[in-house]
Amino acid sequence: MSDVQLGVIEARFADRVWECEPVSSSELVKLSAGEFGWKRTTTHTVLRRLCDKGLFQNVNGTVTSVISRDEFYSRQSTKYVQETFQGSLPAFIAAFTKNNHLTPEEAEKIREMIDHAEEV
Amino acid sequence: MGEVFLKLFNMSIAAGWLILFVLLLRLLFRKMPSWVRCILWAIVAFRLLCPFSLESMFSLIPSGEILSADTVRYAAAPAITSGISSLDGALNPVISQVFAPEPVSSVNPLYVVMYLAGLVWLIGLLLLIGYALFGYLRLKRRVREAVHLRDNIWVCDAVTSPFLFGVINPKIYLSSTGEDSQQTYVLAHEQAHLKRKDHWWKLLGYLLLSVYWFHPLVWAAYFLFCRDIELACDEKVIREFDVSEKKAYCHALLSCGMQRTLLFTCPLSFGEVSVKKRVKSILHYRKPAAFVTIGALVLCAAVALCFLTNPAPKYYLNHVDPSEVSAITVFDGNNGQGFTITDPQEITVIVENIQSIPVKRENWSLTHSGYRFRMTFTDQSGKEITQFILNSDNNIRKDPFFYSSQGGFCYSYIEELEQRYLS
Repeated sequence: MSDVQLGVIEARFADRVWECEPVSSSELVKLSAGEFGWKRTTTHTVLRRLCDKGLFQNVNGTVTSVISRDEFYSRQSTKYVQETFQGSLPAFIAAFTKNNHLTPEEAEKIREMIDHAEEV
Repeated sequence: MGEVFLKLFNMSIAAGWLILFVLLLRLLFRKMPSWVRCILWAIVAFRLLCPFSLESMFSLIPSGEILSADTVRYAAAPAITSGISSLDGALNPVISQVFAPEPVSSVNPLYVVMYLAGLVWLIGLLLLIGYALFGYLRLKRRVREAVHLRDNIWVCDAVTSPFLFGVINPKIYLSSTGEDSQQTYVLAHEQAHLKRKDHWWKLLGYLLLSVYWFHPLVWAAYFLFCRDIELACDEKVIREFDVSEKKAYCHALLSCGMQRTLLFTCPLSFGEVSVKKRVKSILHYRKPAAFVTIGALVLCAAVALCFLTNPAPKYYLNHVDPSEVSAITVFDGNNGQGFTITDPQEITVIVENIQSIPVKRENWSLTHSGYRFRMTFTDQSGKEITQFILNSDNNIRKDPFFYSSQGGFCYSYIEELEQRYLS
């Protein structure tokens, strides 16, 4: 699961599914045709690929998600910090804030998150 | 089948001379703009396409027909006329011997060989076309998931470097992960391909390659042609650029890895222009002066005239009235003896005979040493009207060429005269 990569267009399609779920596969085909200009077979191919990657499932023509969007991207982020900063969150935040200054609101939110994390 | 292949074989040899000449021109005029090179390739394509050819005296093609259909069918001693007499001299004895028809069989072995060659040719043609079709379908599948951006531009995950794809309504496919700033340059290059109709030219080139796959020079021509197209598009884009814009364009080239941008219509993997070569040519580009452009066009016209036409038949002594000729001096190369004909009747017979028979230019003659009758025609004041060598009843030599006819020259008549004069 954590070594799943999505292409830019795949990600757009995944976002659409997360927005609309649960949705019938035929509805999805119509949607994709409108937004992306895809044929029915193309939509089915992409959907099947995403199902194989563990994001969605297609049961009796209804598409639902196996993993939520937030959960998916959080796992992606963890994997990224793991690979790039050897899992060190402070290192990541230091790199992030080097060029982007935190607003007071963001700092407040982060403080809350840290308190919450320590409690659990 | 064999006849079709034979016709193509003859055409390809004539085109081969043209390709060699174009290669020579490219070496001599390295600075010529790429669009001129493309025009030269268009001339080559015309030669390869057109089964008929006008005849003119400016033709530089050594011979219009290397191996005639009649020779293949009927000749007792088959021979080729390639336009190079030393080549003919070397090959023809072997060809005649190997392919001499046996008295009993009714079919010339050369005919059978040609038929088989025709089959092999057809297989090669089908293979090449099949390969292209396969490549096209595979690529079509790959860009199925592309999403429309604007106009004729589509974005696709599976695309690594941008390309133009399609024949009737080609679309430009961009990578979904590309940088916008560089995409503008890439797009300019692809749009240039579209404006120049390169997708059709390249398809035509590949079709010609499929038909003439047996000729190695045609492969070389196709390879260089693909390169020239890319370079010409680069030139079209950067024509009005200043130095900083040119550099930006080169950066875009490098990061996109845009070696080959016209896919499908060039399914063969070579035809990629190295990025290094393109960058070099871009940075050294200077807009050509008007006289260079005009000179280049004149050169192309000259090449077309000399190589799109076949040698024309001519008549020797065609403006000469027999009464003008007061003497014909004949020198026999066989025995080293000479004699002069002054009798008006004999002169008339000879002149009228030579005048009436058309000859076609055939081979280069300069490597040939032997000859028979060297004939010099002089007028009343002793001035020489013309001079040539009569070698047989169908062959005249006037350096640097041999000219041959269907026969009928007064060769034996001169032999008789020689007998009489020298005894």
